[in-house]
Amino acid sequence: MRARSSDEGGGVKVDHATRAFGLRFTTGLRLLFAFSALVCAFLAVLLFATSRLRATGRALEDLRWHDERLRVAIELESALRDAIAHQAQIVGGDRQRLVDYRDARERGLEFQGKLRVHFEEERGEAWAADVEVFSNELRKVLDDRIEKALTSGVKDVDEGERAHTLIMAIEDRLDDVCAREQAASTRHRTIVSDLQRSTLRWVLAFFVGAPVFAAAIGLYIRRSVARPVARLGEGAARLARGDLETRIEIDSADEFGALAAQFNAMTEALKTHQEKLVQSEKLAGVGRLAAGFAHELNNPLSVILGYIMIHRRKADGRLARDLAAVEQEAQRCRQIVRDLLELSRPGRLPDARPVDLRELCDEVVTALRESNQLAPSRVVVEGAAKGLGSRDKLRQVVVNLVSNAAEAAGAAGSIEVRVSASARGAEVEVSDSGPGISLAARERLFEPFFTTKDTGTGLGLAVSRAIARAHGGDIAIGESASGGARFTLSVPPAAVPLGRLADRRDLASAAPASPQQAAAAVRSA
Amino acid sequence: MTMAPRILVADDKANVVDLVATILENYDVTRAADGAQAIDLVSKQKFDVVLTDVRMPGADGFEVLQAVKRSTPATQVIVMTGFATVPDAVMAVKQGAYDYIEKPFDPDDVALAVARAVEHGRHTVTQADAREKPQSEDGAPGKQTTAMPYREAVEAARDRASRDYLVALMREFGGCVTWAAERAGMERESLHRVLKRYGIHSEDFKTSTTPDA
Repeated sequence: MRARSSDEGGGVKVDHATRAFGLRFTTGLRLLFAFSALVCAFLAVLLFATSRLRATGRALEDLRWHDERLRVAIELESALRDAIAHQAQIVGGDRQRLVDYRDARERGLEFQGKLRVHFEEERGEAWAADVEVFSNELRKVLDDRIEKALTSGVKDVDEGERAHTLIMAIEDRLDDVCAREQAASTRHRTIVSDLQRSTLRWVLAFFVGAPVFAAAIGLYIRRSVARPVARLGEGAARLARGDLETRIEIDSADEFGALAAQFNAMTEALKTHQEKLVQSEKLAGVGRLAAGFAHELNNPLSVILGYIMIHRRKADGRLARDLAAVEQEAQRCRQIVRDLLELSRPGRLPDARPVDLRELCDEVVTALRESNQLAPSRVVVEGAAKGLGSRDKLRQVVVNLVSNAAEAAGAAGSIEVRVSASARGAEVEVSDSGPGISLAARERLFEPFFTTKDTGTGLGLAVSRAIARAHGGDIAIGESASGGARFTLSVPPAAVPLGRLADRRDLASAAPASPQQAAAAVRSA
Repeated sequence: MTMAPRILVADDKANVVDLVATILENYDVTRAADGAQAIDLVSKQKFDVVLTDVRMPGADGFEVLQAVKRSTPATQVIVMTGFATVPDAVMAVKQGAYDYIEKPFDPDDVALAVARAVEHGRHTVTQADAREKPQSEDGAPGKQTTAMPYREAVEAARDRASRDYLVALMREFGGCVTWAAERAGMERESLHRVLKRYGIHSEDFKTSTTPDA
């Protein structure tokens, strides 16, 4: 019972959450998010890999460039060295070397041109300017002096020395450049290898991470779809096996939560329906039994009661007392038979008509007081309303409620009868100052033969409720202000169409017809 | 003193018949053990009042009622019924029965109903060609079924008829219960109880000529 109520609480919570947020984080949305995350992750990895590849490409390009520059610088250096060597030999008198020298010089100029192209952006720098200046100087020296000297056969040692000095200066500068380019090249080589290594690491990480991530997404989908589906399936199977206590505990605010709540509501409704069915079967069984019972008991009871009444009225003393007791019990049997029959005919109501409930309550209280059945010192009747129903039947209900209240309140207690009209109908509220009714007793109070009293048959309230329901109303149990019991009888309101009012006037004028006949009969006799 | 009114009691339960006969000991009571026997008796003899059960083997109360209406229209029929078959009894009143008695019954009620029925029958006999017709044809309840449940109407009419009958009875005998009881075919005590129940005080009707009761 407790577990069930907490389930219901859960269901209600989900409902509230659903309503509060308006937009539900539905399973569809969740799946969409999961797949989107997967696709986004792959795209990100792809972008990362591409950018790494491009960075590696760029680094390789730089490396090649520096290598090229280095090569040019080295070539130039070697050309210059060659030129110096040849020059030395020429100066030494070996004129054969002139051609080689020219070649070397041409090569030197060629590489110098290349160097200019390669190091164009560094032209403003000191070394480049130096190389430029020294090269021009050198060319002049070579072209103007040394060549001339060679052709003329006159050694110009000074100029040779000067050319050597220039070449040495250029070499110095170029050595610096070479060293620098060497360093740059090494640096770029390191960058490239670093890039390659890290890219490899990332790719490896991706190869390991992708399946893990995909598996996680899969698990998430399984959690949010497969598991609820499995639970629902399991619940449905339990229900199919006839377990009406089945409840599915999914309190997520998505379709499955809603489905589970619906499922739980359905099983609850199914259970209520089945209980009602069982109850009505029970009542129908009681009814069939009662009808047969009553029919069979009526005649014996008639005879018993008839003779008791005849003889009790003629008897004296002890015999009269004993017969009175027998009569009382026989009357009780008669009442039980009647109550049972009343119960066995649910939903059948004689023509309903407006009943002044205030008048009815006053009448009942007066009648009970006159017959000494109202022990409480204080009985208050207040309010006014008209209900639609059978006056006799409603009187029976009010008598039952008021005499129950009187018994509960005791001699020193009080009873309050409040008649009121509402949009739903007319109500008669009977409250007493008695001890009240326990929750356990409330659940069974309307069951036939359930009673909390020593003398009751346990049919009064069952019959009263059957009558109230036959009217389209009901009887509810509550608690009075003083902690006693409060029973509320509700019946449909007396919305009287004009046509029916006319009928009532007809009735008022027509009813005495028979008594007039009777009176006439007596007079004529 | 005229002959005691003739009453036919029809019920398949012998004990019920005996009980009714005991209650109606001032009348000339004939017994019928079932519907068929009752119909047979009605066709051969004349009764003032017929008390019949609704459900009987052979022929039911309705058939007995029809037989009485056919052979001796002046005979008043009172239907005896269990609580469960009250609607049937009300139907019988609709079809011309004078009244119905619900089982288990108070002997006083039986005595009073029979006394009224006897008076009603005498009236019908003395005014054989009167315009007044049996209760069912122009009687009160016939037309009000839509406004007031027929049964309630019958019961209300019965209450007023009983009261009017008792008042008329008291007036006629100047408040002398003994004479009135003799006339009504009831026990004196029984009449006392019935008067008390209807709130009628016999002293109110006493005149100087009334003997002490």
